[in-house]
Amino acid sequence: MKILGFDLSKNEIRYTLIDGNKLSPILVEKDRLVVLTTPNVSELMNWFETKFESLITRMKPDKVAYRLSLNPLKEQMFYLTYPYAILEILCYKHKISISSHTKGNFAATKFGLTKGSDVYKYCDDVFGINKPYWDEKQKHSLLSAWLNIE
Amino acid sequence: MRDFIPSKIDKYEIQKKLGSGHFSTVYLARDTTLDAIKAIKVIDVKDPESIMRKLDEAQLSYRCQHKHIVKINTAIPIRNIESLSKIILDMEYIEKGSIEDYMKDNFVSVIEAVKYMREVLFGLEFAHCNGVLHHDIKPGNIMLGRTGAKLADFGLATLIEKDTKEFEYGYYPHYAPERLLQKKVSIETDIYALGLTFFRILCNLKKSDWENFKKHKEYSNKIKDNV
Repeated sequence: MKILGFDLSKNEIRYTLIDGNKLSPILVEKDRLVVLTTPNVSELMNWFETKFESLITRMKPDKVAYRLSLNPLKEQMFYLTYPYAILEILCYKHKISISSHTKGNFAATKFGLTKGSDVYKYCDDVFGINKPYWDEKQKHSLLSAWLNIE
Repeated sequence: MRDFIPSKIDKYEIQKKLGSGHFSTVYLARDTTLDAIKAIKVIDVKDPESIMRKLDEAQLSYRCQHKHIVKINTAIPIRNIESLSKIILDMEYIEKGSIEDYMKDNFVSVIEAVKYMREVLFGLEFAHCNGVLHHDIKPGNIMLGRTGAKLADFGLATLIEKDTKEFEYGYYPHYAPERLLQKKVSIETDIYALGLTFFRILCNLKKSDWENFKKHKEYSNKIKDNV
């Protein structure tokens, strides 16, 4: 089962594709895409739609998941919230189930760890250190996907 | 001598000729059943055994339905008394024409050129994601629609897994070095052709200018001499 996870920030899209099952997940692909710089919100949404469409077409995931930022400022909403609405519509069209998660959902206990364990460190233990850009943002996209694997 | 333009083909009323290639002609036409303006490509089929190859264009275009790729609506085989004689590809009509046409009377600004290239790259990436190589990327095959640039003419397109080694056809002046040397085609040779297209748009090098472009000719010959 292939799960594609996303994490958005102002300047970049992070995505991670994992396969396998809950007990032995496999990292298939991860990358960082630099977001188009434009003051035109419509053009920006067109860019996001095209980019998401390409990723979904190429990777053919069974499920999509993303990390949602809570309470963004108005100018951040164009980068952090609006694109996820586009992703939701695309998944609806492609008949792919999609789910959203907040940072609070990445609790250690959900990954079979004891309460208070470091989930980011656990990502390194299970998947290895996959530089470049193997940071918290990248791991958010990974954790979103990982939460949905069966 | 003027070209003969038929007044009607199947359900299409021909309004004018938009262009022609070796084996096909593109017309602006009115679909009388839907009362809609379309661009139709009429492909001559002389050899019945080549029908499947001629239908490749329709099938590969249909695989690549994307907002930055010219949409194909349907393919209609037309029969005469003896055998199949023509295939009609019913496509969306793009009023502004190609970048090549636009370049005849206008300079394209850097900002515009970057925008068009970004859009065509989206379309091309989508085609590649669907396993299709275009092989014929040039300003004449990039159309300027109301919603941006669109990649057109999949007449020479092939599947990646089918023909990534040797492929004879394409727009020679946009061949990548490895294509000239080893006849190898790949995703990268399409991207190279788009890079040259971008260069030509920025420098306003039209088809004739480009084909006579001294440096390019010397470069191509040099590569060929080294084979």
